[in-house]
Parts: sequence; C-alpha cells; structure tokens
Amino acid sequence: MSDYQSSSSGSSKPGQTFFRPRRSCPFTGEGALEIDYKDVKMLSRFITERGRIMPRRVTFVSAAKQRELAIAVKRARFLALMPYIVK
Amino acid sequence: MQFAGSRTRVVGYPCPATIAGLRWVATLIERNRKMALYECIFIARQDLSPAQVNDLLNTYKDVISSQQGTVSRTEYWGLKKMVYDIKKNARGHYVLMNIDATSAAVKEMERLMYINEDILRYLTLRMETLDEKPSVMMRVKTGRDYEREDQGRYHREDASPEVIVDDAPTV
Repeated sequence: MSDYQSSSSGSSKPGQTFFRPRRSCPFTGEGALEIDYKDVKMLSRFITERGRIMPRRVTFVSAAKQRELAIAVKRARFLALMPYIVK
Repeated sequence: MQFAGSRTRVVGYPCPATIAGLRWVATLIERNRKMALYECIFIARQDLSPAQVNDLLNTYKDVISSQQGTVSRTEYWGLKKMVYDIKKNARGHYVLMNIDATSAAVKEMERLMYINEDILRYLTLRMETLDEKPSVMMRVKTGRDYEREDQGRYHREDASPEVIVDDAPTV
C-alpha cells in the first residue's frame, strides 16, 4: 500500500531487506497520549489516506491499545467526526 | 425426561414467594437505584436554532434530574460540518453531556431522543470516570492560531463554540 510509511535503513547483511528501528507504543508509558474518540486530530494519525485504520505493525501500537484505538475510531465515525471511507 | 443415572439440572429464577426470592427481587431494585457515570453526545439537525437546541438539552437535563440524576459538564460544539451527510443534513448541532444517573434515567432519555425527529444521532457511553475539563473540541481554535498567527483574529470570528455551563443563561 503506497500510503504506509516504511523506513528502510540498509543493512549490509545479504538477505535482509527492510530494517526498521523498533519504536514503542505511543499510548503506553508515562505522559502517554490518551485515546479519546473526540480527539479527531490525534486519531487521524492512525488511519490511512482512505480513512482505514492502520495495522499495528505500522504504528507500533500495543495490542490492547490498538483495540481501544479501533473502538475510538469507530465511535468517531458513527458521530460523523471521521469518515468511514475516503474516495 | 429423567433417566436413572442421568444428571439433569433445572436452572430458573427464584420464586418471589420465598425469602431467597424476595432477596433476589431486592437486588433487582437495588441494581436500578445505583448511579453510574455516562457521557452522552447528540447531534441535532441543522435547521434548528441554538435556542431550540438548548431547549432540547434542558429537556434531557430535566429527565435526568427528575430521577435524582445530575448533569455536570455540558458543551455545545456549535453547528459543525459533518464528514458525511446524515438524513440529508450536511451540518449538525453537537452537544455533549456528562451524566451521573441510574440506568433507568438514561434509558428514558435515550428513548426520548429516539422518538424526537430533531435528533439525528445520539451516543451514550458508560464511563469509569468523568472528565470535567473542557473537551478536545473546545480547544480547537488555539491549535489553529498557532499556524496562522496573522490571520488568527479573522478566523476566530466564525462559529466559535460556546460552553453552556449548568444553569447559566444561553443564546
């Protein structure tokens, strides 16, 4: 998908293609972001250009927080604060 | 049908005529008197005036308070443009309420919202804790001013959302 960000810093070892530095979940830890279905600006960081929710392997969100995030996005969609799909 | 050696278990409700039954009925009543925290958002259709929206809000506040509930924070996000049309409305009046009430009170409020044709959508969520600070929606303008400092004054004119505080006079 062209709208995912993928960083590849080349690894010299043959056979290894994409190396991504491991990042931590943005919602975990002290002073972390809060998942709020009303915060469209924050939520839109985790959806694609077409309005679909991005998978965890792209955003490094933890499993539990990804579930909360998905629920928040769906609530925002229901309230017409976020789109279901963007043409 | 019971056969010798088979194990069948009948599960049913306790009979209210017994002591245990009465105790069970009491728990039902108790469960209904417990108060819980809710956050409710409703969207009213765009043809209404802010005063009419306020009337709606007061109706629901009355419903809640008549059953010994409280409505704490209320916010009016203004006539917002919706991301998609709802019932041919491109914009809608967004109202947020913090509620502390019994489930029966909330159910009644939702029933009235369902019946009312002026309410396009409503969403009531049960919350563990209620946030009394102004929500993210009320802080939108400050973020934008940061980007366009020279035009900040001009753009602040349009559709500034009002915070409708409990018992304060409104539009």
